[in-house]
Amino acid sequence: MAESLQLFSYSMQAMGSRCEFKFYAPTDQGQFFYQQAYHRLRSLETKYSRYHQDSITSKINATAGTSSRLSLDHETQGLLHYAQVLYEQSDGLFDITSGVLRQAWDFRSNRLPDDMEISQLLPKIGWSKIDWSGAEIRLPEKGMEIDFGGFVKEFAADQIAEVLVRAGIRHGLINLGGDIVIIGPHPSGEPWIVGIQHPRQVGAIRKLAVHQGAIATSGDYERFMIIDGVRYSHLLNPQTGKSIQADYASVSVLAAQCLIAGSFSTIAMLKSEIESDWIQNKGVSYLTVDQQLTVNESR
Amino acid sequence: MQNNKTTLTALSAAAMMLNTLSGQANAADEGYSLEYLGTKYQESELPAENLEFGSVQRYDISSHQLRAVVPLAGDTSLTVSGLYETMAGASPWYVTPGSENQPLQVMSGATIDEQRAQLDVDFYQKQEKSESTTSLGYSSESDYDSVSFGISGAWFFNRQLTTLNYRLIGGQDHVHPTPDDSDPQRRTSEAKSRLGGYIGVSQVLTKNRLVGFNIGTTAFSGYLSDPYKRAYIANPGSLVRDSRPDRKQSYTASAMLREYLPEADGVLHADLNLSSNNWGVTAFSGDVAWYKNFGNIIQVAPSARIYHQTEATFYSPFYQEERQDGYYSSDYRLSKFSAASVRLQAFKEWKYFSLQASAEHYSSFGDHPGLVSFNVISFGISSDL
Repeated sequence: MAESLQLFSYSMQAMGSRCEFKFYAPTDQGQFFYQQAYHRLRSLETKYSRYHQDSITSKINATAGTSSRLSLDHETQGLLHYAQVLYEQSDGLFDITSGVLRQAWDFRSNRLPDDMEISQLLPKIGWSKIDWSGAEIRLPEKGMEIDFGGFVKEFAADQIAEVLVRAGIRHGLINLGGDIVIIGPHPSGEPWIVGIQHPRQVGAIRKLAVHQGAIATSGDYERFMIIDGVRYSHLLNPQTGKSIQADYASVSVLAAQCLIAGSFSTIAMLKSEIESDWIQNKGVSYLTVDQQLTVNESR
Repeated sequence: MQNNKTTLTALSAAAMMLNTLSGQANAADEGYSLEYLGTKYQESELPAENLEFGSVQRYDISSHQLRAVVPLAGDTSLTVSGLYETMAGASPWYVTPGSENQPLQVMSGATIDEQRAQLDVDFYQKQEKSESTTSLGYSSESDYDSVSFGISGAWFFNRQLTTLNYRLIGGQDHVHPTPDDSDPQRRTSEAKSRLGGYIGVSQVLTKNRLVGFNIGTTAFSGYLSDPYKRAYIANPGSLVRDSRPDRKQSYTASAMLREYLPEADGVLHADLNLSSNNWGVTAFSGDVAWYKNFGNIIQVAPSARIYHQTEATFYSPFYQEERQDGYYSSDYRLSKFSAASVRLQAFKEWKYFSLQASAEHYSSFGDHPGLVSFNVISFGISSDL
């Protein structure tokens, strides 16, 4: 059976990242399966991107400060419920309303925002303020925004893998900008080799052999600026509006689902400023790179 | 150590729920669709040793159904369904005692050749936490007209994991039996009506498991007899009309389980049904089906069903004496019997259309000589436009 499988490899730009689908399928079916997987990726991108005017995210944000409530489809209700659990489990640090801080933090400007700018934005932040009943939502404050960007890419990676698994694919890898799902090993049984990005230089700091599961990494190297020798990354504290001085340069987590892996890696980074060992004994495998570039692996 | 895993438990539960919700289609996502289903129903010949008189050939029914779903403004859609059926064959008439007092079937003398047409219109509406369907139907054949209506729907609670279902159905039938010179006393015009409903609850227990329970009741009133059937009274030897009480109240209860087994990539369906009516018929059925996916484009579903019912209090294959209450029926559908059926269904999907085919065999077992066995095959094609 394995002899008739061909490796199909596709790469594309989506969700602001370079994405790749690699999977083994019968020669005449690979393109068909790819189209289904790609369709799922594009539909999720269109539905949740804050850059698309017709996206759910834009429609939710359009309710800010108005009296109108937006009806939600099942999937969006599920994502919002997940966002609530993220908020609770991170003690408020993972907050999908914190995106408005982008207005103060411009990492290309090489300039720190002043306290006044931040204090004007803080009243527009706070998941607990949102008027959300499950099936309907309204953002109470004018200028409030939500952004699913913190976990929708990981969710999309799981969903694409699900599409392929349902199509009968048993050997493959989905990579959405470093959020990776391994559907199953190569048909020979060999694992896929996944590189963990070096946080301070091009290339991998560690290569992992993975047969199945998901890996996601959160790091202080994605968007940042260094001012007076201090690194200010895109990981912002929604309660203070300040950039988090993470203990780690990056945290990678291995879990059964990419959504879970990504959630743990992000919370671990956000928490590390005050609780650097938060990730320990949480029931997931992880690889941390601290600011001295020491790699600590727990599998 | 356990407490430290709270985050993993909480996030995994939320991710599971997200996956469940993500898989649920939303009404707004529905588009135009067109579907054709052709069905051939063929009753097996009556065993010769059970026959006293008439043809061993029984009913054949061919049906053609066309169904169109048209999305309307907002979260609403209209489904229009038309059915055309042709029926031919002979049907059980009455039962007489044989030489050893065994029941023998007498079949209707003439071969019946009929057509039936039916039109159904469903209006579907999705609200914030509920959905509803309003249905109207009309069916017509040479000796029978029927109108029906229904309101059904569901409310979603507990972040969509719990669903409360309901259905209210009613109908009015007008029976105007075909005149027959050999039966000048045959009824010429009768009516009957039905009104019933059920309520139920279904609960998503885990990402892969759904359970549900329903209870319901239906009231029938009017002419509930069969104008073409007779019953035999041995002492004195005479034929009387099928005559049943003009009211019937039935009660139903059902339980269902849907379990997705990821390792096998298939869904197990299990259903139990219990019903009882005040004519004395209590029935039980159990269904089990296995919907196996081969990729996401081919599905094969073998299923099996068992059924058992008790007989109506006034039923007898034939009667020794006249009854005080005047009720008589030798209809095999009111007798005590058991039945079993097996079915195989296959479904294949392409980019723009899908095909389905199924075959079923049904056998029933009991003392009535006219108990039926049949085969059904069907073929369907549907397209999302």
